[in-house]
Amino acid sequence: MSVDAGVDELGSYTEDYTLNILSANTSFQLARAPWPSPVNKKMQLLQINVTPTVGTGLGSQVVIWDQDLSNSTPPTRGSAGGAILTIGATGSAVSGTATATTALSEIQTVEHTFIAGVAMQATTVNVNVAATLKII
Amino acid sequence: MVTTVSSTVTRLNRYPYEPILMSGQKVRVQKGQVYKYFEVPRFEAPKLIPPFEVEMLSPFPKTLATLSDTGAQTQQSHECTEMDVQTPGLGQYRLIALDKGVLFELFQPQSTSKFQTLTGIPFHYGTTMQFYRNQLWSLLPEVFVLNDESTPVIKVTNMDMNKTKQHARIIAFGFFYPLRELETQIDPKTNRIVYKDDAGNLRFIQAALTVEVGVKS
Repeated sequence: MSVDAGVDELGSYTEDYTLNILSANTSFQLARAPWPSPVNKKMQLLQINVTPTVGTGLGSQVVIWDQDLSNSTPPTRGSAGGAILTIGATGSAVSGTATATTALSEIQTVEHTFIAGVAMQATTVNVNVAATLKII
Repeated sequence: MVTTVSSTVTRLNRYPYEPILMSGQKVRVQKGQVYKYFEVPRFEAPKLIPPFEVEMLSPFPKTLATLSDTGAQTQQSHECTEMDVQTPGLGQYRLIALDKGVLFELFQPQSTSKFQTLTGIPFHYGTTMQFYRNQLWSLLPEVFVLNDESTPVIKVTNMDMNKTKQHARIIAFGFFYPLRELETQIDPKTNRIVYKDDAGNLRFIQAALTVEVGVKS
Protein backbone atom coordinates (compact mmCIF):
# COMPACT_ATOMS: atom_id res chain seq x y z
CA MET A 1 0.00 0.00 0.00
CA SER A 2 1.42 3.34 -0.92
CA VAL A 3 1.95 6.02 1.64
CA ASP A 4 -1.17 8.09 2.15
CA ALA A 5 -3.31 6.10 -0.28
CA GLY A 6 -6.92 7.05 0.24
CA VAL A 7 -6.02 10.30 1.94
CA ASP A 8 -7.72 13.20 0.28
CA GLU A 9 -9.00 15.48 3.04
CA LEU A 10 -6.69 18.34 3.94
CA GLY A 11 -5.26 17.72 7.39
CA SER A 12 -5.51 13.93 7.20
CA TYR A 13 -2.77 11.34 7.25
CA THR A 14 -2.41 7.61 7.87
CA GLU A 15 -1.07 5.58 10.78
CA ASP A 16 -0.42 1.84 11.00
CA TYR A 17 -1.38 -0.22 14.04
CA THR A 18 -1.07 -3.86 14.96
CA LEU A 19 -2.55 -6.00 17.70
CA ASN A 20 -2.20 -9.60 18.81
CA ILE A 21 -5.44 -10.86 20.31
CA LEU A 22 -4.34 -13.28 23.00
CA SER A 23 -7.72 -14.05 24.59
CA ALA A 24 -10.91 -15.09 22.93
CA ASN A 25 -14.02 -13.01 23.47
CA THR A 26 -12.10 -10.34 25.37
CA SER A 27 -12.05 -6.68 24.43
CA PHE A 28 -8.82 -5.27 22.99
CA GLN A 29 -7.91 -1.84 21.71
CA LEU A 30 -6.31 -1.62 18.31
CA ALA A 31 -5.94 2.16 18.59
CA ARG A 32 -7.40 5.00 20.56
CA ALA A 33 -8.52 7.93 18.43
CA PRO A 34 -6.62 11.16 19.12
CA TRP A 35 -9.76 12.93 20.37
CA PRO A 36 -8.16 15.06 23.15
CA SER A 37 -7.22 18.69 22.52
CA PRO A 38 -5.15 20.03 20.81
CA VAL A 39 -5.44 17.23 18.23
CA ASN A 40 -9.23 16.61 18.06
CA LYS A 41 -9.22 14.02 15.31
CA LYS A 42 -11.13 10.88 14.40
CA MET A 43 -10.17 7.72 12.54
CA GLN A 44 -11.31 5.86 9.47
CA LEU A 45 -10.43 2.28 8.56
CA LEU A 46 -8.52 2.10 5.28
CA GLN A 47 -7.11 -1.41 5.30
CA ILE A 48 -7.15 -4.34 7.70
CA ASN A 49 -5.45 -7.74 7.78
CA VAL A 50 -6.71 -10.51 10.07
CA THR A 51 -4.52 -13.60 10.53
CA PRO A 52 -5.16 -16.52 12.91
CA THR A 53 -1.58 -17.43 13.80
CA VAL A 54 -1.78 -20.65 15.78
CA GLY A 55 -2.59 -23.93 14.15
CA THR A 56 -5.99 -24.75 15.46
CA GLY A 57 -7.45 -24.70 12.02
CA LEU A 58 -10.46 -22.92 13.43
CA GLY A 59 -11.83 -19.91 11.65
CA SER A 60 -12.10 -16.72 13.66
CA GLN A 61 -14.55 -13.90 13.70
CA VAL A 62 -13.35 -10.43 14.62
CA VAL A 63 -15.94 -7.92 15.73
CA ILE A 64 -15.08 -4.21 15.72
CA TRP A 65 -16.76 -1.22 17.31
CA ASP A 66 -16.05 2.40 18.22
CA GLN A 67 -14.86 2.80 21.80
CA ASP A 68 -11.95 4.15 23.83
CA LEU A 69 -11.51 1.37 26.36
CA SER A 70 -9.37 3.61 28.59
CA ASN A 71 -11.61 6.65 28.80
CA SER A 72 -15.38 7.01 28.81
CA THR A 73 -15.40 10.66 27.72
CA PRO A 74 -15.73 10.16 23.96
CA PRO A 75 -19.04 8.63 22.86
CA THR A 76 -19.14 4.91 22.18
CA ARG A 77 -20.75 3.47 19.08
CA GLY A 78 -21.43 -0.24 19.03
CA SER A 79 -20.26 -2.95 21.39
CA ALA A 80 -18.93 -6.49 21.38
CA GLY A 81 -22.47 -7.71 20.94
CA GLY A 82 -23.40 -5.00 18.49
CA ALA A 83 -20.43 -4.66 16.20
CA ILE A 84 -20.32 -2.04 13.50
CA LEU A 85 -18.00 -4.25 11.46
CA THR A 86 -17.44 -8.02 11.51
CA ILE A 87 -14.61 -9.74 9.68
CA GLY A 88 -14.43 -13.47 9.19
CA ALA A 89 -11.01 -15.09 8.93
CA THR A 90 -10.30 -18.53 7.55
CA GLY A 91 -8.70 -21.01 9.93
CA SER A 92 -5.13 -21.82 9.12
CA ALA A 93 -1.70 -22.94 10.27
CA VAL A 94 -2.59 -26.53 10.94
CA SER A 95 -0.11 -29.08 9.67
CA GLY A 96 0.16 -28.83 5.93
CA THR A 97 -1.81 -25.59 5.74
CA ALA A 98 -0.30 -22.21 5.13
CA THR A 99 -1.21 -19.28 7.34
CA ALA A 100 -4.15 -17.48 5.79
CA THR A 101 -4.73 -13.78 5.95
CA THR A 102 -7.98 -12.04 5.33
CA ALA A 103 -7.14 -8.66 3.88
CA LEU A 104 -9.64 -5.93 3.22
CA SER A 105 -8.58 -2.77 1.44
CA GLU A 106 -10.32 0.56 1.45
CA ILE A 107 -12.44 -0.32 -1.54
CA GLN A 108 -13.64 -3.46 0.22
CA THR A 109 -14.55 -1.99 3.59
CA VAL A 110 -17.28 0.42 4.52
CA GLU A 111 -15.85 3.82 5.46
CA HIS A 112 -16.57 3.48 9.13
CA THR A 113 -15.53 6.45 11.25
CA PHE A 114 -14.22 5.92 14.74
CA ILE A 115 -14.62 8.86 17.09
CA ALA A 116 -13.33 7.19 20.25
CA GLY A 117 -11.13 4.34 19.08
CA VAL A 118 -11.04 0.96 17.37
CA ALA A 119 -12.05 -1.74 19.86
CA MET A 120 -12.32 -5.41 18.94
CA GLN A 121 -12.83 -8.99 20.05
CA ALA A 122 -12.05 -12.29 18.34
CA THR A 123 -13.80 -15.60 18.81
CA THR A 124 -10.48 -17.47 18.95
CA VAL A 125 -7.11 -16.82 20.54
CA ASN A 126 -3.94 -15.83 18.73
CA VAL A 127 -5.29 -13.61 16.03
CA ASN A 128 -3.01 -10.96 14.56
CA VAL A 129 -4.71 -7.78 13.38
CA ALA A 130 -2.87 -5.11 11.40
CA ALA A 131 -4.60 -2.04 10.06
CA THR A 132 -3.98 1.25 8.34
CA LEU A 133 -6.16 4.01 9.69
CA LYS A 134 -6.75 7.41 8.25
CA ILE A 135 -6.57 10.15 10.87
CA ILE A 136 -8.97 12.91 9.90
CA MET B 1 11.84 54.93 16.18
CA VAL B 2 11.18 55.70 12.55
CA THR B 3 7.85 55.34 10.85
CA THR B 4 7.48 52.96 7.95
CA VAL B 5 8.01 54.63 4.60
CA SER B 6 5.05 54.56 2.29
CA SER B 7 7.04 52.81 -0.42
CA THR B 8 7.55 49.66 1.64
CA VAL B 9 6.25 46.61 -0.20
CA THR B 10 5.71 43.02 0.73
CA ARG B 11 6.17 39.88 -1.30
CA LEU B 12 5.62 37.19 1.29
CA ASN B 13 4.31 33.72 0.57
CA ARG B 14 4.20 34.16 -3.15
CA TYR B 15 3.43 31.48 -5.65
CA PRO B 16 5.65 30.28 -7.25
CA TYR B 17 8.51 29.94 -4.79
CA GLU B 18 11.40 31.96 -6.11
CA PRO B 19 13.83 34.47 -4.60
CA ILE B 20 12.12 37.63 -3.37
CA LEU B 21 15.32 39.69 -3.49
CA MET B 22 17.83 40.07 -6.28
CA SER B 23 21.16 41.83 -6.47
CA GLY B 24 20.90 45.52 -5.63
CA GLN B 25 17.46 45.25 -4.04
CA LYS B 26 16.80 46.39 -0.51
CA VAL B 27 15.12 44.76 2.43
CA ARG B 28 13.88 46.17 5.69
CA VAL B 29 14.23 43.58 8.44
CA GLN B 30 11.95 44.14 11.40
CA LYS B 31 13.10 42.63 14.69
CA GLY B 32 10.51 43.32 17.30
CA GLN B 33 10.26 47.09 17.69
CA VAL B 34 13.42 47.92 15.76
CA TYR B 35 14.48 47.47 12.18
CA LYS B 36 17.45 47.81 9.87
CA TYR B 37 17.83 48.28 6.15
CA PHE B 38 19.97 45.94 4.11
CA GLU B 39 20.86 45.49 0.47
CA VAL B 40 21.83 42.44 -1.52
CA PRO B 41 25.23 43.61 -2.82
CA ARG B 42 25.65 43.95 -6.56
CA PHE B 43 28.44 41.39 -6.47
CA GLU B 44 26.29 38.80 -4.68
CA ALA B 45 23.20 36.83 -5.60
CA PRO B 46 20.54 34.81 -3.77
CA LYS B 47 21.53 31.22 -3.18
CA LEU B 48 19.33 28.15 -3.00
CA ILE B 49 19.03 26.39 0.36
CA PRO B 50 18.20 22.83 -0.72
CA PRO B 51 15.81 20.75 1.40
CA PHE B 52 17.27 19.58 4.68
CA GLU B 53 15.83 17.86 7.72
CA VAL B 54 15.69 19.24 11.22
CA GLU B 55 15.08 16.74 14.02
CA MET B 56 13.32 18.03 17.12
CA LEU B 57 14.06 14.94 19.23
CA SER B 58 17.81 14.92 19.39
CA PRO B 59 19.83 13.09 20.40
CA PHE B 60 18.31 9.95 18.96
CA PRO B 61 16.60 7.85 20.32
CA LYS B 62 14.81 10.36 22.45
CA THR B 63 11.09 9.66 22.53
CA LEU B 64 8.09 11.94 22.43
CA ALA B 65 5.46 10.87 24.94
CA THR B 66 2.02 9.85 23.73
CA LEU B 67 -0.87 12.27 23.56
CA SER B 68 -2.54 12.46 26.96
CA ASP B 69 -6.26 12.53 27.66
CA THR B 70 -5.75 14.35 30.96
CA GLY B 71 -3.84 17.46 31.95
CA ALA B 72 -1.23 19.31 29.96
CA GLN B 73 0.45 17.64 27.01
CA THR B 74 4.10 16.64 27.20
CA GLN B 75 5.96 18.80 24.71
CA GLN B 76 9.56 18.99 23.65
CA SER B 77 11.22 21.98 22.09
CA HIS B 78 14.22 22.40 19.88
CA GLU B 79 16.17 25.55 19.04
CA CYS B 80 16.71 25.20 15.31
CA THR B 81 20.27 26.49 15.02
CA GLU B 82 20.42 24.36 11.87
CA MET B 83 18.43 27.17 10.24
CA ASP B 84 20.82 29.96 11.19
CA VAL B 85 22.57 31.56 8.22
CA GLN B 86 25.91 33.22 7.63
CA THR B 87 26.36 36.81 8.77
CA PRO B 88 25.34 39.14 7.27
CA GLY B 89 22.53 37.29 5.58
CA LEU B 90 18.84 36.53 5.49
CA GLY B 91 17.36 33.03 5.26
CA GLN B 92 13.91 32.42 3.80
CA TYR B 93 12.43 29.03 4.58
CA ARG B 94 9.27 27.12 3.86
CA LEU B 95 8.52 24.21 6.12
CA ILE B 96 7.05 20.74 5.63
CA ALA B 97 6.30 18.30 8.43
CA LEU B 98 8.04 15.04 7.55
CA ASP B 99 6.87 12.76 10.36
CA LYS B 100 3.22 11.88 10.66
CA GLY B 101 1.31 12.39 13.87
CA VAL B 102 3.40 15.21 15.29
CA LEU B 103 2.18 18.76 15.90
CA PHE B 104 4.82 21.40 15.23
CA GLU B 105 4.47 24.89 16.63
CA LEU B 106 7.04 27.46 15.55
CA PHE B 107 8.14 30.20 17.92
CA GLN B 108 10.33 33.18 17.07
CA PRO B 109 11.42 34.14 19.67
CA GLN B 110 10.77 31.33 22.10
CA SER B 111 7.78 32.99 23.74
CA THR B 112 6.01 34.19 20.61
CA SER B 113 4.19 31.83 18.28
CA LYS B 114 5.06 32.69 14.69
CA PHE B 115 1.74 31.84 13.10
CA GLN B 116 -1.01 33.42 15.08
CA THR B 117 -4.68 33.95 15.16
CA LEU B 118 -5.56 34.62 18.77
CA THR B 119 -3.40 31.70 19.76
CA GLY B 120 -0.60 29.93 17.96
CA ILE B 121 -1.30 27.78 14.91
CA PRO B 122 0.54 24.48 14.82
CA PHE B 123 1.13 22.58 11.59
CA HIS B 124 1.56 18.90 10.91
CA TYR B 125 2.05 16.37 8.12
CA GLY B 126 -1.58 16.49 7.05
CA THR B 127 -1.61 20.27 6.68
CA THR B 128 1.69 20.64 4.83
CA MET B 129 2.54 17.54 2.78
CA GLN B 130 -0.54 17.82 0.57
CA PHE B 131 0.33 21.41 -0.29
CA TYR B 132 3.87 20.35 -1.10
CA ARG B 133 2.76 17.48 -3.33
CA ASN B 134 0.30 19.69 -5.17
CA GLN B 135 2.95 22.43 -5.52
CA LEU B 136 0.83 24.88 -3.53
CA TRP B 137 4.00 26.10 -1.92
CA SER B 138 2.53 29.49 -1.10
CA LEU B 139 0.41 27.75 1.53
CA LEU B 140 3.38 26.27 3.37
CA PRO B 141 4.51 27.89 6.64
CA GLU B 142 7.19 30.47 5.92
CA VAL B 143 9.80 31.93 8.25
CA PHE B 144 12.71 34.32 7.86
CA VAL B 145 15.96 34.12 9.79
CA LEU B 146 18.50 36.96 10.11
CA ASN B 147 22.07 35.76 10.68
CA ASP B 148 22.09 33.70 13.88
CA GLU B 149 20.08 36.33 15.74
CA SER B 150 16.56 35.00 15.26
CA THR B 151 16.81 31.25 15.64
CA PRO B 152 13.35 29.64 15.45
CA VAL B 153 12.24 27.36 18.26
CA ILE B 154 9.86 24.54 17.42
CA LYS B 155 7.74 22.79 20.04
CA VAL B 156 6.40 19.35 19.22
CA THR B 157 3.44 17.39 20.57
CA ASN B 158 2.60 13.77 19.82
CA MET B 159 -0.78 13.42 18.10
CA ASP B 160 -0.98 9.69 18.82
CA MET B 161 -2.45 8.23 22.00
CA ASN B 162 -1.06 4.76 21.27
CA LYS B 163 2.57 5.14 20.25
CA THR B 164 5.51 7.24 21.34
CA LYS B 165 7.39 8.92 18.51
CA GLN B 166 11.07 8.44 17.83
CA HIS B 167 11.21 11.12 15.17
CA ALA B 168 9.75 14.60 14.90
CA ARG B 169 11.29 16.12 11.79
CA ILE B 170 10.56 18.95 9.46
CA ILE B 171 12.01 19.63 6.04
CA ALA B 172 13.13 23.20 5.46
CA PHE B 173 14.12 24.64 2.12
CA GLY B 174 14.41 28.08 0.63
CA PHE B 175 16.86 30.82 -0.20
CA PHE B 176 19.81 32.61 1.36
CA TYR B 177 20.33 36.27 0.65
CA PRO B 178 23.80 37.74 1.33
CA LEU B 179 23.33 41.23 2.76
CA ARG B 180 25.12 44.49 3.30
CA GLU B 181 23.77 46.74 6.02
CA LEU B 182 22.84 50.24 4.90
CA GLU B 183 23.77 53.22 7.03
CA THR B 184 20.47 55.03 7.30
CA GLN B 185 19.45 58.37 8.73
CA ILE B 186 16.51 60.73 8.55
CA ASP B 187 16.79 63.45 5.95
CA PRO B 188 15.83 66.59 7.93
CA LYS B 189 14.32 68.32 4.90
CA THR B 190 12.01 65.59 3.75
CA ASN B 191 11.76 63.53 6.94
CA ARG B 192 12.40 60.42 4.84
CA ILE B 193 14.90 57.67 5.35
CA VAL B 194 18.11 58.03 3.37
CA TYR B 195 21.26 55.95 3.13
CA LYS B 196 24.81 56.46 1.99
CA ASP B 197 25.60 54.85 -1.33
CA ASP B 198 29.03 53.55 -2.32
CA ALA B 199 30.13 57.02 -3.33
CA GLY B 200 29.05 58.49 -0.01
CA ASN B 201 26.02 60.28 -1.40
CA LEU B 202 22.75 60.33 0.55
CA ARG B 203 19.98 58.60 -1.39
CA PHE B 204 16.33 57.89 -0.71
CA ILE B 205 15.30 54.29 -0.24
CA GLN B 206 12.85 54.07 -3.09
CA ALA B 207 11.36 50.72 -2.24
CA ALA B 208 12.21 47.98 0.19
CA LEU B 209 10.77 44.62 0.94
CA THR B 210 9.85 44.16 4.59
CA VAL B 211 10.32 40.91 6.42
CA GLU B 212 9.79 40.25 10.08
CA VAL B 213 12.06 38.10 12.22
CA GLY B 214 11.91 37.38 15.90
CA VAL B 215 14.60 38.40 18.32
CA LYS B 216 16.81 35.66 19.71
CA SER B 217 15.49 34.11 22.87
